[in-house]
Amino acid sequence: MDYSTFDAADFLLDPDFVLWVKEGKNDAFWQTFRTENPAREEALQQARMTILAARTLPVVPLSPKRRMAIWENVQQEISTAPGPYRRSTWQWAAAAVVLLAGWMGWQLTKTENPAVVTYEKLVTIAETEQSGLVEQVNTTGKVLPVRLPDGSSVLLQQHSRVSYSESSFEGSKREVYLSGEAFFEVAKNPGKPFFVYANELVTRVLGTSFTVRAYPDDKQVDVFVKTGKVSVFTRTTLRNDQGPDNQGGEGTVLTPNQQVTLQREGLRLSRTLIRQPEILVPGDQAVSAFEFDDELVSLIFGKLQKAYGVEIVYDEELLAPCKITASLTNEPLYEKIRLICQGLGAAYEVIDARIVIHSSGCN
Amino acid sequence: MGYAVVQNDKESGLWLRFTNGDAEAFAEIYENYVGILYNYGYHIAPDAPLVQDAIQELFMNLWQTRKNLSATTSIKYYLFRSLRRQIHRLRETAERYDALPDTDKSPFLPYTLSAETLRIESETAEEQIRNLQKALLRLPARQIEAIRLRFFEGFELHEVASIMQMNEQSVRNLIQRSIRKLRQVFDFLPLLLTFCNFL
Repeated sequence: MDYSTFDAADFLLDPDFVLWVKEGKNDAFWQTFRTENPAREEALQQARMTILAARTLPVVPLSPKRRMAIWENVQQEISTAPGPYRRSTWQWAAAAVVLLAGWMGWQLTKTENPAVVTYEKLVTIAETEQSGLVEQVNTTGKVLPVRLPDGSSVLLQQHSRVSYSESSFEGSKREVYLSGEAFFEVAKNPGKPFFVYANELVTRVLGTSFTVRAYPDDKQVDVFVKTGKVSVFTRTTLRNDQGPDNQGGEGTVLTPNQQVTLQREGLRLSRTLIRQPEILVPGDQAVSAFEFDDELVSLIFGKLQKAYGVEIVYDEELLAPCKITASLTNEPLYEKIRLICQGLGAAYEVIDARIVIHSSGCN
Repeated sequence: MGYAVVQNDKESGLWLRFTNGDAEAFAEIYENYVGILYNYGYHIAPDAPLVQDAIQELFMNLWQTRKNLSATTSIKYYLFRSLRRQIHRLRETAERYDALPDTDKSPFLPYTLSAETLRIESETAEEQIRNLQKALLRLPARQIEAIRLRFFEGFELHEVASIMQMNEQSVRNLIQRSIRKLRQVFDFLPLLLTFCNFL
């Protein structure tokens, strides 16, 4: 290609030029070209700056709320229309009859399983031990904020309920019973641990914020941590090692951006990262800016670990010489990791709440 | 937004899993792309509920027609092209009722930059870039859209053309015209970057 007659627009439209500006490809060639063609310098700079400006245009962020709302609407639509083609009304009516019959049959054969812990059971036990149990039920179409006696707050989702006894908050521990889903912001009080009982799962914290999701008919119970440290137990381990009462057992400890899922059948606890990890201190520019110009990968991973509080495992020796140029400020964590991996020709997976990078070095 | 987006095998694997009805792959596609789709959608139609509707429709259709979709190596390209069509479809219906602003007008409030403010602000390379961005955002809608798709999203020219439903030469013309407009800005910008900050 003869670049010696190029104007700014020509440079802008040349794929090799764009690759040089974005990724530094063929740098030697372009540097030579620049020294040999000083008359093209101005056009080249204009094209280069236009690319740099376009590459960092401001982004309109998608709020987590809207992100979730869109997904839920999509889910709702596709769960009522599972096939690739929409069904006609009579087919739906027929399907509904079949479903209803199945549900009735299931209700009839359903027997009480003693291992299954429900909100009703928990509350019944609590009522015999504590006095003055208060229940809040969210029958509104919106999230219901509930204030607890110690100043902690609960954001109760629709069709969810929470119970607590006023007297328990005056004792040595704070205890709350949950059915459904709620986000807890717990007032700090190291002397009085805070317990959330939800189906078979027990969550213990001192002062932190987290979400518990425990619907009566779900096969699993989830806890998502936003800030602080949270310990999670099943009711059986709780009883066996007397864990939280004497501060002995630690259960499964979760830190921010981690979640634990309890499979109610088999009582298996597994820890992973939440679906959309967030930056711990979002306002802090020094922490949350991810613009890298020919930067060591180890440094980039270090910055990500700090910003998201997640552990990234990789072969330090193998990746030691690798450098990357990237603009990742507005990407979600997984997208950041994916793009870095793409640059490295690497792959990643999430194992036990850690991000593990599989790479054979940089190319 | 990340620009290290290239076509790769992992993408086609994910897409294949999805077309075979894997709900997890579908969720992964959603998680990976909804953010950049929203950003793109909002810039062609600055109307959050409309963009939300369009993205919803896009993903619903995607799931419902998954069995008929052909293999793809660039999910992003496929999604961008579909979203743009969806937005235009929704917009046409909306316009019949409440006449939304014309597509070819820039959705952004054009703030005027005098030569003097440009000169004062252009003290650092970063500010130069920022000034250029202001100028970019004042370009006619289709010009900035082509620039955004090519340089911000990293699509190839032929992909930009297909997403914008025009031929490649027209996209080239759009980009050519835009840099001619930007030249007015360059005339006021001392090329600070030239020797001190370059690479």
